[in-house]
Amino acid sequence: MNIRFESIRKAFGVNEVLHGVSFSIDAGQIFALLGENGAGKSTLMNILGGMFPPTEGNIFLDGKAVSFATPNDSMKCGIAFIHQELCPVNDLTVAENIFIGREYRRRFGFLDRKRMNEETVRIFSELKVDIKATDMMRSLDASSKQIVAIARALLFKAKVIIMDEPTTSLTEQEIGRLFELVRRLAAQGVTIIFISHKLNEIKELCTAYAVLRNGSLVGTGKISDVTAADLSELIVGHELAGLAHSAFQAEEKPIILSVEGMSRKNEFEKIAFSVHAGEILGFTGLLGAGHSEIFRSLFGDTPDYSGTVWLEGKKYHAKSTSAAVKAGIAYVPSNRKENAIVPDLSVLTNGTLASLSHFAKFGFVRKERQKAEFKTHSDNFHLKYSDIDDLITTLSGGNQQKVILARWLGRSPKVLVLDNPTQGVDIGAKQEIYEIIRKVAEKGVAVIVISAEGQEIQRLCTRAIVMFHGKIQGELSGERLTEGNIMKLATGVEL
Amino acid sequence: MSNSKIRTVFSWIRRQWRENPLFSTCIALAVMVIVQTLALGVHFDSFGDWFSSFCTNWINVLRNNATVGIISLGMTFVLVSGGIDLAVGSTLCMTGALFMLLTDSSGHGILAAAGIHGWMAFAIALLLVILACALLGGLNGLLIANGRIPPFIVTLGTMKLFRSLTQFFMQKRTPVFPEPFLNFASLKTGDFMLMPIIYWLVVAVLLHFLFRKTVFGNHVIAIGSNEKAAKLSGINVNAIKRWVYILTGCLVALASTIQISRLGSMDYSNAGSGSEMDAIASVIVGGTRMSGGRGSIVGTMLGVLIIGVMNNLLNLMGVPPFLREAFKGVIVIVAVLLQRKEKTS
Repeated sequence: MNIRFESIRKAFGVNEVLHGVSFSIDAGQIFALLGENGAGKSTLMNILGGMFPPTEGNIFLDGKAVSFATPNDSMKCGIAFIHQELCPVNDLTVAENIFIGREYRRRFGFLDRKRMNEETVRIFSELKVDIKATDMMRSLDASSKQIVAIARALLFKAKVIIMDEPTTSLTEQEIGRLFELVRRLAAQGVTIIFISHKLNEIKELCTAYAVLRNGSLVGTGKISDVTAADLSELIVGHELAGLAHSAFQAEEKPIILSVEGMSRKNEFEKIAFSVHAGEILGFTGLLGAGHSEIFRSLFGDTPDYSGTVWLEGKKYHAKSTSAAVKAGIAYVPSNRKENAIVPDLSVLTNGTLASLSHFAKFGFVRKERQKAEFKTHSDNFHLKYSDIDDLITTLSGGNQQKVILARWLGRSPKVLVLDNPTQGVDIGAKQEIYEIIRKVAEKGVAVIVISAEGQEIQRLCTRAIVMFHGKIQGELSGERLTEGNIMKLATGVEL
Repeated sequence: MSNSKIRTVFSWIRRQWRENPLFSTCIALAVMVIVQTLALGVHFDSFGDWFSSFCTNWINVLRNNATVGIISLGMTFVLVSGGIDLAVGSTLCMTGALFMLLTDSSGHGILAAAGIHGWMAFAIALLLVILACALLGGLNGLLIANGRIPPFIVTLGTMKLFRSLTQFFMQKRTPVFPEPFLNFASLKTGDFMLMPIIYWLVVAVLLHFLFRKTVFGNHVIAIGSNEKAAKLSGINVNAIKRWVYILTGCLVALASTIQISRLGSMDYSNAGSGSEMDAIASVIVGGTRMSGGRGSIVGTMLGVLIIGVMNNLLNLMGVPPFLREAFKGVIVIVAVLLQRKEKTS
């Protein structure tokens, strides 16, 4: 099926995320949709998948204009969206998963298991895959689960399959198997839209591409006409100059945290690095590369790792988060809403949650002291709130993040770890948060910034460690610390 | 002029209704009390008689609810922390048994056998019983926090365990409690038996401050509201959870002492059964969120009173006891329906 997007615009409130995108995808293509996080790929695919309509513009399928009000409408037109996070029901069989929501029934609503199993066997044999219809979903590996999702799509006559980063949780072998299937489907005329950050994969698998940057189309064409480096440049855009403070001389400062041979099963392997006082060290990689997990372990949330860690020259291994905090480590987690915000507490209590006992006498919080301490930070941060006793949920994302920063700075940590510190924060607040982080580092705190955004790492950090598949792929500093180099290392290319 | 005043009052009411979760609870209680007063007023002619019967009735209501009231205070902490404690009723029953083993004045009591009598014996027994209840609560807390078993399941198990053990060891024993024991709650102030009410109010005030003003209270809210965030802020989540169940255990010990002291005996097959549900119902009617993170001691006091006044009202109106539970059920559901003003985001 041929798909054509014509000047698609999408705005959420006043915030326009797609500024008139037009391109077309031919039938039977394996089409790579590329761009950084927040470039607008997901928004565009969600429009195609019927999650929400575009503000302006049209989608044409085989030349006919279509508009989808619900995901169901889109499905009826033959479009299947396989999300990055698969949601299989692990306690049902493969066949039951394929037919879930559209089960074959016999009289009185009984399930027609026999027919569903037969259909499943048929589709699997067409796809030439070796999965049993009656196996429990739980027993399947990650690639088989992907294949089941694809089989489900095909069984309901999908002519377009959108795959959102299908390979992030797959092994090399599983990836090979998936690619083979994708190629076979394309040969049968099914259109595949393939979203991935791994440029090597794209070069290997896809036939055509489109690149989005900040909500606009910046390039489209045949994959055979471009190199991986060309694509990387298109994705990132112009190379930003490094910041003046990258002249930081790490050697002159004492080492605060040093890690050797740190490993945790299925997450990261043989990690070694050290951070100096006053340094801002970046940790980056693609989703699931292990860079976040290292610090979750260091902070005592998942404390069962092997390897040795020294904190200010002393051996350190926190068995709990409270032990890590006592040792002087502060941790601003990613996904603020899930991991950092306590929605039923006030701005003030949220901003002092890690250090409440500092202001307490006989267990009673002395509010005047608590307020005074919080205000020293919030004034520095230009924090905007109407009442210090309002719930934290009344603040904007950027201001919430500043409250979380205040929570930790109140403890005067030795090491400050920030995981994705500007997630869901607008551009103005982003600048302010960068400023805060720099000031903290200037005071001699060892700062570690974890981010998937190459641009953020480049602008903020003095040095960056890039991870790939749980291992350190390379280290960048000075002039070599560019978004392009980060992207190359993160996608598994050697420099 | 007066028109605009009325309008201000109305807009104040509307704002309170929308923003203050306790406002609707207060209104519900006020309505209950008005109906109750009317129901009471029908029978009397002179004001003096009416007033004294009004007071007697209220003291009865408060005293009858002191036991479940104290348990509800503990339950508030449990529910706000995101847990539930089904074992409070059985713990109450077991506490009674312990008390009897310690202080039975018919010659079998351990303390009496050791030659300790009178107030001394009572004081020691009270301390030991509170300690024992703290341990029972601590067992719940340990299994929930460190054993990572859902609170519902842990306390369902210990509920069965505690009651069954008590019944087995206490069969055919009828305790005789010594004098100072009975004075604990039955001591009269003038014509009224006020002690249970005083204990209840004192504990409520203390726990209100514990909840609102201390590090512990804040941490309990944090855990119930977002456990992950609490853990990642370096709060020792397990320790706080254990303390919550220990606190509840201690409060049950106090409630049990009051109950035995008032009644002078304990029926081991039934004592405290159903009180866990009564406590949960009161706490929920008082505006505490079942899934944790939000609640208040003041709300729980209102919740206990609403259910208490309603029971009293049904009693005054001569509604048969078997039907009263139905009203309790309806009021819990209605209360939660009225409170559902939270934004669902």
